[in-house]
Parts: sequence; structure tokens; C-alpha cells
Amino acid sequence: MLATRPLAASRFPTPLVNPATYASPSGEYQLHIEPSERQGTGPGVYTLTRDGAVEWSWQRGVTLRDAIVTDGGVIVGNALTKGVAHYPSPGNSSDYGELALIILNPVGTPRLDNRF
Amino acid sequence: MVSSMHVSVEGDWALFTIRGCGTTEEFSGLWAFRLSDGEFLHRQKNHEDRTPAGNSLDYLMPSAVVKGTPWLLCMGIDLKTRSAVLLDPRAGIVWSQTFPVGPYLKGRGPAFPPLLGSDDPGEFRRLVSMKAGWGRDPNYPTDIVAAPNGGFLIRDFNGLHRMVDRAPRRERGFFDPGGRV
Repeated sequence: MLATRPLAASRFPTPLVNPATYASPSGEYQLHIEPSERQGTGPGVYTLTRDGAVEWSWQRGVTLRDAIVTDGGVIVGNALTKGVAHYPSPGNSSDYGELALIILNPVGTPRLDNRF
Repeated sequence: MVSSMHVSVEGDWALFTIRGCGTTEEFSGLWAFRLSDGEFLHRQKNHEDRTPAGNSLDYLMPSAVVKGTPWLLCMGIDLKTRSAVLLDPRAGIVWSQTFPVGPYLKGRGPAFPPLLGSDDPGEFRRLVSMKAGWGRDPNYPTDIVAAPNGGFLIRDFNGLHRMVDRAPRRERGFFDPGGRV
């Protein structure tokens, strides 16, 4: 009997968004982001520490996929609410979710939260 | 789907580079906001916007703020050309220079890229031969950043001895265009 195996998927594998820690260039600030969903499509818990002490820890509605922390504790990052590899359902070809461009103040409040 | 999302901070610019395909193409481009207050500054769309020479600006990537100026140096590439572009946060492209990609892919690139003068950003200074500087053919230069002393660092993707400086051949990935950039 011939062995069989399932056909390989023709789409790109969905990239995962793992928990990540981003440090400022000086190392003074560190931002840890804990995604709630494997593909980074849900909320994320953000924790900013300064010299090891927690400055703030909040849950936000999106999980940043890429982030930078400046030496002043400002956070810059972006997110796609349905993930980078989301394919819209038939009949709704523009349903790619929202692109979120985010800047957070050193105290965690939004300085920029643009959605497209 | 979105093929890549990248964020960077250059000076007082927060930069978001998005590459989409298909219907997400509308997201694609370089988005610039002022870091200090979040004000929108500029969006440079991929594909739609072109350099003054008419070359497409697909895959525009920020490289560095040119020291002493408010301009952002970017690299752009499409199927036929590579572009060095200066972006003004308010006025968009203020200067660009394009180069054919083919010679670089074949390792025969004679010169890359133009050098920028601080007194008159965008002024063409001279071409620098990477082949002469490195003592070998460049493989596939993909990036350029401003160096602290006013020169540039050029990345040669998958090139031999990237950023290596060793005897007997003193390869250098560093060029100083006369000390003023």
C-alpha cells in the first residue's frame, strides 16, 4: 500500500506572534508584550519597566507586531487586527481588518492611535 | 495579506513601513509621524508615487536622517531601478537619484550611491566606486545608513566580508565623502 500524506497548503504559513520584550537603546526601559492570540490578532498585555521596576502594565486592544522603545520611554509600534496572513471571506474581499499605527507616551497613554 | 510591517524611529520621526499585496496594497508605503506629538507628517505610497525621474518607489525603506538636516534618506527599489531618496517631512520627495538594478545583481556595479552635502542637501557630489573601495565586485548592496562621523555605511547583502577590515586586503564597508554630510 502506498503511503499518503496530505497536500501541502498553498497559502503562506500564518506567522505567529510570540511574547516579546523590546529594550530601549540604553537598556533603561523594557517593554514586554504578551499576546492573547497566537497570530497577534487579539488584545495584548503591555508592561513597561524602567531599570527593572514596573512603570505601568495595561491591556490594549491590539497586539503590536513590531515595536520600538526610545530612551525616553516612548513606544512606537504597529498592528494588524486580523493578522498579516488573514484572507478575507468570499464576498468580502476588503475584510483585512484594521492597520493600527501606535505611539504610546511614557506613562502608557496613547499619543497616536491611527486606524486605517 | 500584508507581507511585512516595520517600524523605526529616526530623529523625531516615527516611521511605519507597510508592504501589502492584492487588496492590502492600499496600506503600502511609508508613513511618517512626528514622534514628539504624534502629528501626521507624510505618507509616501508604494507604486503610485514616483521619483522626479519617473521611477517607481516600490519597497521604500527608511535608512537614516541626514545629519544636520530634517531630511530622511531612504532606499527604494522596483524591478528595474534602485533609488536613493531624500524625503522632507512636509514636502515629500525633495531629491532622488536612481540606479539600474541589473549591474548590481550581476556584481558589476561601478558606483553607488550619490553623496549628499549638508550645505545643499540633494547636491550631487560624486560617485564612489564600491569595487575600488572594497577591492571586489559588490554583491547586492541593499542598505545605506549615515555614520556618526559623517560618512556612510553600506550593507552588501550576502557579500563577502561584510563590514570586514582585515589584512591583506583591507576591505572597507565605510566611505567618508569628504567629511561633510
